Amino acid sequence: MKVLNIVETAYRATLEEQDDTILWLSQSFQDAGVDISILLRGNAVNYLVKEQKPFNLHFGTWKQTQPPELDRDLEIMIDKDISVYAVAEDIQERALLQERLIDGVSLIEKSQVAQLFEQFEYVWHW
Amino acid sequence: MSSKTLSIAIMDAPYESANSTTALRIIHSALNQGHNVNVFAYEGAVNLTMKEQAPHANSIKGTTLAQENHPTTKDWISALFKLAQEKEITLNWINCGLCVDERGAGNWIDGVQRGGPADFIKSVKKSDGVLVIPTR
Amino acid sequence: MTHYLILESRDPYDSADWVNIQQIVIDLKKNGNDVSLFLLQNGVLPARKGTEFEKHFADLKTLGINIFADFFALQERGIQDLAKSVEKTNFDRLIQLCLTTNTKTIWH
Repeated sequence: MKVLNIVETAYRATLEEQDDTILWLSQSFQDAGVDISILLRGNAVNYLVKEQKPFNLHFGTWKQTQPPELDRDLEIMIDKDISVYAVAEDIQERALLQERLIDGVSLIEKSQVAQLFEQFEYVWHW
Repeated sequence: MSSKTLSIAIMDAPYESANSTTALRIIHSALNQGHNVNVFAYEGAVNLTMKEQAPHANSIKGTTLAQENHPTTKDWISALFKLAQEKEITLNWINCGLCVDERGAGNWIDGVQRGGPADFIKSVKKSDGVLVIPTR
Repeated sequence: MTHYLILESRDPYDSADWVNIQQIVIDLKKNGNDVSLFLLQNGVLPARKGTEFEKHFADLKTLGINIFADFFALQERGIQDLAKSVEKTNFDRLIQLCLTTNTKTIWH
């Protein structure tokens, strides 16, 4: 069962969840036997930027540890043979420098997105 | 018409987005046409079925509780379970367990079960159609 | 042949991403697929007769893309007159489309 999970919305409750909930869900799907791939589009391409360091989050005496590390999460997913695609124009529009991005991501042009869908039994836009 | 199966994943919490009512309308339409429906409620959507939801009057409009007929999503969903029962088809509703725990949303209406992403994948494999409604 | 059912809940007035999805709809059709575009929620707003998007919907129709608008959402917004290329329908139709063999349903 081949599934393409598209992630567009970025940083949605990631500080509370310590994860992007769809990247997390995608890994759960892989554990359930799904051949899962990820397409980052829109603001979610910012997840590719290396060394995302959430500020020191604390409330009164509560110090929050274990912040989300979305670039690391993606690297771990790539290591687990999850293919990660990202839309090149979305990266350019946001002035993300190539040398600041994690390795192992397949960049595709907007015009290739529809073609990418053909490779999957299910395409879910989260 | 032969009965088919639809699997649907939803994410929005009640009273925040048009998506919740849309999802329930879609489920209603499928059930009404005699199709089985599997729901996977992820993240805020686990709050849709919370038992403690209570309707309120509307002081701005000057309506009483009875006049306002204020909706709760748990009542809408209870009605969907009843519809499925009447039509002798299945409405299988699974709340994501971890999402329930972090929200303290474990007290829910009859018919709802606790589960996880693997349950959604199992239902997808047995479905004729799949729909994911994300939140933003 | 694959049938793509694209559920568009967003509108071009509010969402910068609307135009990107419309392009994907066109690309899917040009790649040889059957494509249905189903407008719901605020996604029906550009389908009102007289908007600048009337021509866009006409172009989609010319390409062979079927465009539907949720009657409930139209009524909710007081939209009576629709762009000619857009067909008023309901969720029973949406379910039928979604459960059609070889359909990939994608929400936006």
